[in-house]
Amino acid sequence: MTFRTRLTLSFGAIALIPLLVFGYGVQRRMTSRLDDETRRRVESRARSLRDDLAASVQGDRTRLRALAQDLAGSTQFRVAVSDTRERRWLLDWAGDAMRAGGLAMLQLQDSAGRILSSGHFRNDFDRVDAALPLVVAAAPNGAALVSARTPLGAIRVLAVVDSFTVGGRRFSIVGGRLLDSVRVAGMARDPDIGVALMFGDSARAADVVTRFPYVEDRAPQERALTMAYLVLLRDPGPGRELRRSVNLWLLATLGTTLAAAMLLSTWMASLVSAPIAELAEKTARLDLDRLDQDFSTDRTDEIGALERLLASMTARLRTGAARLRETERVAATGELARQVNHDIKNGLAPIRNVVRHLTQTAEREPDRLTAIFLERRGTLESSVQYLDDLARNYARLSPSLDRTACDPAAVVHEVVKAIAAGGARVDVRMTESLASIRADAVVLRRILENLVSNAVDSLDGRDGRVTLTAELADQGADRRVRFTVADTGRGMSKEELDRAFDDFYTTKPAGTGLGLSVVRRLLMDLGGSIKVDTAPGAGSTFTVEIPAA
Amino acid sequence: MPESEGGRLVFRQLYETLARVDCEGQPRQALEHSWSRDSMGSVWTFVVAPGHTFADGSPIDAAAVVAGWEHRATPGRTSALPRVISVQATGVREVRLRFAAPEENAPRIVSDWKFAIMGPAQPNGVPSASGPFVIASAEPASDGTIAALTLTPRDAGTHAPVLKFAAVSAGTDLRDALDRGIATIGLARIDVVLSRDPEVLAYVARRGDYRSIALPWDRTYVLVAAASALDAATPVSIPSAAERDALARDAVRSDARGAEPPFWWLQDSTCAASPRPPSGRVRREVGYVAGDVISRELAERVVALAALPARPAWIPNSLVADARSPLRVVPLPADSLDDAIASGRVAAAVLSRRRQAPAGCSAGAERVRARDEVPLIDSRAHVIFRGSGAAFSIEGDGTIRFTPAKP
Repeated sequence: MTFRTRLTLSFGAIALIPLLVFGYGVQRRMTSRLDDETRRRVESRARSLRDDLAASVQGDRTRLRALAQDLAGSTQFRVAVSDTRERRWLLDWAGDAMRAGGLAMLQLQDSAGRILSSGHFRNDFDRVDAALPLVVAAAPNGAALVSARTPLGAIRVLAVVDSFTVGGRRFSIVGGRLLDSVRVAGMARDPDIGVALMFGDSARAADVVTRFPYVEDRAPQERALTMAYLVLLRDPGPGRELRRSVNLWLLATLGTTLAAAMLLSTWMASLVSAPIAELAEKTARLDLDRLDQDFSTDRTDEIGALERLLASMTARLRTGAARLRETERVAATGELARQVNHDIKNGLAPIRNVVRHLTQTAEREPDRLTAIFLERRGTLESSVQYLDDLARNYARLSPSLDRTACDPAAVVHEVVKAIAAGGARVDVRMTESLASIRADAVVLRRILENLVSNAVDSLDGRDGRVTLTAELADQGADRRVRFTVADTGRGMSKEELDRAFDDFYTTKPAGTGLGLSVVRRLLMDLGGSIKVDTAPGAGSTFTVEIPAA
Repeated sequence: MPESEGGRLVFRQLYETLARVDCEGQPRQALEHSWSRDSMGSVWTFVVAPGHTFADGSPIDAAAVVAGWEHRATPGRTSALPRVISVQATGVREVRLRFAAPEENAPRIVSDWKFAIMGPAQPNGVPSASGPFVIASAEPASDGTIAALTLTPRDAGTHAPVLKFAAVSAGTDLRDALDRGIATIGLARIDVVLSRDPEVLAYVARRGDYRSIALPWDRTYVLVAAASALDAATPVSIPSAAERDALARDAVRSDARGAEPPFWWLQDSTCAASPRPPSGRVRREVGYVAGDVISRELAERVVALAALPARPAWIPNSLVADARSPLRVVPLPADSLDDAIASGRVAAAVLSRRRQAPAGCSAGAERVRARDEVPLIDSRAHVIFRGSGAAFSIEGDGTIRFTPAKP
């Protein structure tokens, strides 16, 4: 995660989290206040509606009572109900009374429920609906919602009932005012709170103002008594709109804050990350060979301190590097001297042995001196040639290896002959047709001579066996010549083996510790490899493979 | 030809017929001098009285009578006259009518306004009058109809008052017109009013300056239902006399009586048109003639009776109560009721027919489904007149005929 990202997140968190908490709190508080306000308005509207309806119902009761009293005292009514031929007045009575009383429904029925006069449907006389007055009279509030038939269809009326007796016959008057969707909708004086009529279970979730038994426009035997509910419908629109508006403003604030945080963090990051990036770039360019980077600065802050620290560190590195180069030069000189010493010793050893042999022969068998000399002359010449080549190699310091094809068998014989001159015995096992290898013969001799000398030395003068094997390791296209030097000497422990190829590591009292080190480097130059199998007391086996020519 | 009640009233003043029928149903002489018939009653010969002329001065003879009738003939029909196969001027004054079937009372037939004698067309397109009055002026209404019509006597030597007819729009309280006249056409006083409104009659009865006389029963209100397969297989049921009387007594507030036979549309073979099944879904509505109070009240009563558990047998099956789709009434223009029934726009309709039908069903408009019409009540208008107003006589078809002389 980049420094700028961290800064952005930090600034964003610092600004946004309090804003989110604030917004959540505002919205929650606002919702609570809105709900409370709506509830208060609904309750107030419900009370007002109940009062209005109660007043309306009471007014209609009063009108019906007056009409009942008028009819009870009317001679014309007595005649009309006793003689159907005279009932035209009665048929028109309800219509006239209904219109005069401002009612929407008025119906006069006898004790059997027969309609004697209907104001809303004049010619609906003689129909029997005995249940209607009973249902209205039994209504909890004395009023029922009635679906009254008219010639133009049914109308819904909030009806009340009254009754009177004339000549021992009981009559009922059912009447009331419209309570249809238009009137109900007109009751909604609050634009956010609607009023509606609902029937049955549909009103369960609404705010019920009041309820009435509902008399449907059906034949009495087909009616099912249901309830009608006058309900208030809350319009969630304004509250939802307010909440949406607040949310939008909150989102806008959050967005603006986030953008500001990003800009601020970018600016802050540029103040910090640019010098750091410059420092990183300078530091990346540092190398033991390039310690000339300039870390000087005038800054007094932490970055300035870091730059000064890096400048001090670079100065120390420069000093250290100079010392290291001096040490390396001294070490290289010493190593070269030891290697020269070692190589010369290796070259002088056969000569010394031949000279010692010739000396002993001259002292003990003078007559064989010439023969012995001739026998050992080759050793002398090859050793001299070896030393001469060695001298030329060192003269070149870093000579390019002669990669002409070399016959490994000849080198093996020379090495064995040179070793044998010292009195050691080396068994040679070599296949007849060894492939040539692309290596300098001197380099191959130095490799094999070091390995065989070490093997002979590992015998510590005791009886033992040193075996040099040369064979072709044909692995398809990768043809190699494998040399194996095995001895039955003391072997090496794991710790000894781990350090065996280190420079100047030796277990021999007069050893230089460079033999195996030189072998490893020369093999690396030839693209060859070396493997060691050894255990303490079980001897060692060095296997060397060199690519064939 | 006049289509409305007011139009027929004016028409009666302008054009004569060969014969007349008085308010008691008795034939009276008009333009004819005499008539005779063959033994079967299929051929009747009328002799035109001499000395009569059209308003333009041309004589009214047999040829003029026949020419006037044939002028109104529909192309392709042998005769423009109901029930008549052919007419022929067999002499200067003899007009011979051959009827499709034997007729017992041809003078009554030719007294119908459809047999009115019209003269040659005048420059204004109106046939020359054969009656005692001619059109002096007409005042158009804003809707293109005639708001008022002034008739003057043809005989300028008489002192008969000028007749001014005014059509009163629906909703107008005639009691106001009786009190204050009709200012819109310059009438300060009304002398004669034709009305079926019981409130107007009750008002007149309480005033001393007007009297009223009931005109003959001229309209029969019928119920016409949309045909259905069930209806087609079931003969039309007619309300009993008691049921018809109850309808007249309780359901309508006008001067009415239970419809009394004969019901010509049930007897006239020319009225036996096959009922046409509705072309669409029948709506649960009973139509009535817009502006006709009696038609509306009867339609409402039909709706009420259809909802009764024991509905009368004459209520058609298509009107049986359905709680999911209650029956209701709907006003329709008079000239669209038949089409409304045929198309299923309404399940039934209440409309009025002329009580007397000398014209028969072959007149086209009254032929439609007449066989299936259920008679309900008879209605009549009243003529309300001022004592010092115009003199008139009452015709058998319910119209009145003014006399071109001061009473």
